[in-house]
Amino acid sequence: MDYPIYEHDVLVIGAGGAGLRAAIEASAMGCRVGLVCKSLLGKAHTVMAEGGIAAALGNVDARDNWEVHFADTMRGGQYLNNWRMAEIHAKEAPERVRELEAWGAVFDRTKDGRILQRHFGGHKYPRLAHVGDRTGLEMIRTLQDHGIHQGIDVHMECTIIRLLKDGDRVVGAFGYYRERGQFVVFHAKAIVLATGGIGKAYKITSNSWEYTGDGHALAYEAGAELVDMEFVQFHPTGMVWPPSVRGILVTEGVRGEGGVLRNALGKRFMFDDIPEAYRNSTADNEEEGFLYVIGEKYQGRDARRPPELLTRDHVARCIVREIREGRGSPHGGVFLELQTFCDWLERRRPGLNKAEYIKKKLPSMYHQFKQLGGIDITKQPMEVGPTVHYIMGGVRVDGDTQMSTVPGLFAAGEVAGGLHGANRLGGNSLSDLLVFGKRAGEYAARFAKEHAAGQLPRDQIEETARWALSFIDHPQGDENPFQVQYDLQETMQNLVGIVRREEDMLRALEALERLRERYRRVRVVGNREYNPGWHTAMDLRNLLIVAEAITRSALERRESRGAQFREDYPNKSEEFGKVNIVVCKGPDGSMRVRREPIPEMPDYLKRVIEQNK
Amino acid sequence: MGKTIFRIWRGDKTGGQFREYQAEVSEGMVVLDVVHQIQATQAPDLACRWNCKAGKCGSCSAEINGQPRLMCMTRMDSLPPGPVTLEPMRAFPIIKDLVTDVSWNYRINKLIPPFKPRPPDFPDGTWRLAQEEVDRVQEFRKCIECFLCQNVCHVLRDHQMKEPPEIFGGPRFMIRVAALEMHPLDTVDRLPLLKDVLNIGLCNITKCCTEVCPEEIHITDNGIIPLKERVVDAYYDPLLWLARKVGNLLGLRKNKKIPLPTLQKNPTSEA
Amino acid sequence: MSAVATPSGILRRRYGETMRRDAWWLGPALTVVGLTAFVLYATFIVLAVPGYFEIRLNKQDFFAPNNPAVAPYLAPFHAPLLFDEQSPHAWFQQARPSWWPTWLPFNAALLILIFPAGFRFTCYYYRKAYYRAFWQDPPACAVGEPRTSYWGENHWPLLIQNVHRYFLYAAIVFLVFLWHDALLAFRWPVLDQNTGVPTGSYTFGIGLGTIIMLINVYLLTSYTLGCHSFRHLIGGRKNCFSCPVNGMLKPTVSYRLWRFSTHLNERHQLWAWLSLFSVGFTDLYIRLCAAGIWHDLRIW
Repeated sequence: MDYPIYEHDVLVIGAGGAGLRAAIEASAMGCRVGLVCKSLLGKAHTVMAEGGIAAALGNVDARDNWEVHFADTMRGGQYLNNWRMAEIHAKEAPERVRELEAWGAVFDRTKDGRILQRHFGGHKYPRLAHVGDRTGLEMIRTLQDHGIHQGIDVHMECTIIRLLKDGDRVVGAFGYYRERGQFVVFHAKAIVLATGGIGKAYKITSNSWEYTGDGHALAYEAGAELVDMEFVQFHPTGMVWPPSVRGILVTEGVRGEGGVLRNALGKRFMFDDIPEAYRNSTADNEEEGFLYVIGEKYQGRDARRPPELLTRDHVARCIVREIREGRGSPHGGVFLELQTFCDWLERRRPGLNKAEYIKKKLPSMYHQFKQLGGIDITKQPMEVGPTVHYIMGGVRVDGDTQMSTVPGLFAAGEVAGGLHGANRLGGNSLSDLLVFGKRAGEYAARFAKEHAAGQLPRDQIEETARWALSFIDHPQGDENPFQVQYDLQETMQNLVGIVRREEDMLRALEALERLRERYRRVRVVGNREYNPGWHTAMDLRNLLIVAEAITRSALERRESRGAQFREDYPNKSEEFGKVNIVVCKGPDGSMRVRREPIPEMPDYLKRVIEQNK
Repeated sequence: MGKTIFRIWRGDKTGGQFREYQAEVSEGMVVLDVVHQIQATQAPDLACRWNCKAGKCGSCSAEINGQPRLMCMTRMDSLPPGPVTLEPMRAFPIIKDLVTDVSWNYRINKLIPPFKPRPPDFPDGTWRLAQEEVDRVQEFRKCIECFLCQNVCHVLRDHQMKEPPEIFGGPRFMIRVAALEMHPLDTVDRLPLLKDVLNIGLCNITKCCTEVCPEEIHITDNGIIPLKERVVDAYYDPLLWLARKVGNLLGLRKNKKIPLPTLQKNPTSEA
Repeated sequence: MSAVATPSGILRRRYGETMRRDAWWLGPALTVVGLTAFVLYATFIVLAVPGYFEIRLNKQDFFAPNNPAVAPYLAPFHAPLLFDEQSPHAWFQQARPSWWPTWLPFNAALLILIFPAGFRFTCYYYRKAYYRAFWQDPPACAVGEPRTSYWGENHWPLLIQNVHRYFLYAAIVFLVFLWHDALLAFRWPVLDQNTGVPTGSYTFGIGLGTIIMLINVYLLTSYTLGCHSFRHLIGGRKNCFSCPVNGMLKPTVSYRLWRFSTHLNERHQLWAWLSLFSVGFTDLYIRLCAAGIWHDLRIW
């Protein structure tokens, strides 16, 4: 075995918010930490997060506390959440945000100088600590600049293609460097997966090329369980025009700042369909909704939120309905505009410079539309439509320690499942990264201290290396990896999208079988040096695994709940409200699906939910 | 819009040349879309970095018609008619095609002492800061580390002052130091580092960094020049020097010398 | 590809080499024309045109005895006017300082021009302009340079640029004089209706020159108060404009001044050129009037 071997106590795979936070924590506990990132350090998808970090600091509204945050998260997740994770998350998020400030993050401020918090969909009080609309960048840069002084070994542009096991436990990882294509072995006592999501399984997504479900697939192959994989969050507002930017995110902040959704007839359709669970907390007229946006009272009581700020799953479905029923915009979306709100605000504050107001509130949205779409959002409406944004499901972990069912293998962030249940609230992902990134790092470090290093399995390494090299100038190969990936995305987009039907998904499974067949014939031209074709070929294996996991889980859940909408089972079912869908690799190598009952919630948490109904 | 000829630099550190590709350009496409199209249909091994495709991660830096730009934020219809030349950043060693080795920047970043705040204002570990205070620092923290400023800076690009004895930290890290030095809570003095390690004096403020910054940070006016003025305060202003001497004699000030960091060697561990 | 990869894998451009297709040479070319024109004009005035800094009765012979000023203007190259035998603007009523060598031609502007010239020479904007246009370091962004050697402002002689703030102090003093002169341009000598000789009394008045001088001093002020050193001095040097200790946050005077200076600083380049042009134009206008080539328009 002539590959370089790196020895670490804890190996963290993925250098977004969760990975960095885990590495910092493990390193602070005295471990030798290796941090592997698929791209350059600081480029991870966390930089795309715009809205903010949800944490019940209570800076803007003192009534906020962990209990309200917990109840909001559970309601948003339709009570399928791992309640222990939701509890820990709500309790620890404020401390994680304050810690970030102590490490140099510069949040926007309230008038009295505290960290400012903004409204977001599904959160009862203004709760999102933010920096304009670039909170994710602030977070990742803060963690990065804090982390580089901790003695963490960073392996940039390095992709892991297999977790190495010694018996039950993981003992290392095998991967390659993009630059030269040479293989590398990591020998570690504990491994933290923080690889993010699966967006590239779909055609229209806000995710970048990296989001190929690597961590999901690595864990699955290593024998871990995946939970809630049917819940793929479609962000309601992605750009739809021009075609090349289709899917790029339009932050929820636009709606938070008074953005209004309209169909082609000019009708504000969100007022027509307000779910029962949110009726008491949603405005029923325009005036009240706008007063909520600017934080003022309506008829002497707290104004209620405009319907555009309902949960993401619901808003996305309403948009799809408008488009399907022929009331969409010219390019197959709906309109999102700020003019109505600004005109209203101008009547309250005469002399308001509307264009400047919008530019100040949403600077990067203004530039994004101006530069990419040629649209001036201060004057023109945006065209938006749903885009794959996030997967609630992921590696099934213990709520306290973040360890998966495989000893020594931890997961944090988007790749871990459980916290968000059937639907994630905006802002809960950044806090998820911090809270559980820290915990994963902490418990991985403990695990590393309690266990000696395992034996590196030579056969697994050799087998994987042979597999990886088999694509290059494959003698029987005739498939272009980009084309197979494209067809996979097309399949998932059309057959396992926002609105799902059993017959479609069965067709999807057949299509995936054919794609797996084609995958065996993928051929890569060129050599191993920085060859995107080769990288895509290897990532495809992961995409095929997560695509199948999503489809099988979605088939199993015969109901509509949160992010999953089944046309053939349009209502919630009590039976499925008590279980999570779990998939794992069976002994014969095929995918097993089972229903896992949700454990009973302790009484004090039940009370919290009851009090915040 | 029809067909457009793309002349893309292909090669590695042993050399290379421009190769021509025909691309089908449609409405709203950016340069990165064309690169992807060429990758998917004509040259699957064409190397380029990209991630977010929305101007937020700073990965797809390249030189488009000689201008340092982000490929994902350069619309095809903003370019003049005729063939488009596309080449890697010129200030950094080539890895392959459009990909360059920017690891030097990460080594420079490590030289900068981290943020160290004053003790919290309140027992709960928090501080109070006015928005007016943080506006200035927030501008610098918009940086997406695309390294276009490092690439266009002639000190690094034409003079390659990247290794001892005299290195220049480059605009990106001037901005990073500015964000720390002007942070209302920070307590570390990085002026010795600026003057003697990052050699801020090598900047001749010709402002190309500001011109290419995709985040429109006023790198020179708001970052580098104010830092230069602070260095003048600490090292060159005779009146302030005199005032400090008198202060020292009266025992009003304590001078504490902090050892300066040195640039680490290029790690060869990956070989 | 004309540039060849070096062993380190870096492709260095030759002088003037670029893939840019726009008119990158236009900016530096305009800078060369503008700055050269100004320097030539200033040199010509200082070395070849003694006198004619104010409008006197006898326009043919400026230095004729008993040649009183008939308008309140003072050409800005001569402000402040230190030495002159008969000008009301002069600080010392003598032709030249007694220590001045007799063999050396004397022009009152010589004593003072060093300060505004030094202010502009060390100005952060002008440094950019002439490093690019004259020294070609770089000629334009992403265009190859003529030399490989480089010292920047890290070594002598350009280390001297750090003196900028002291020129700023002088420039602020000069601003006071120029404002004084501009306001005095409203105070016109009353002339005898027949002879045109000043009677010795004064009245309020406005000429075209008054307005030109006022605009000039406004532009100079905008340039000077937007100076990077000024911005540093009045607030930029602080990390904390209003750091509270358990207290209220209130933007301070220093913060407001800094904001104001920042506002001007954002267009420092524009103010630099406008004020340079206006100084030259104001000076030329008054000298042309003083020489009788042009006639000032009395508005009020």
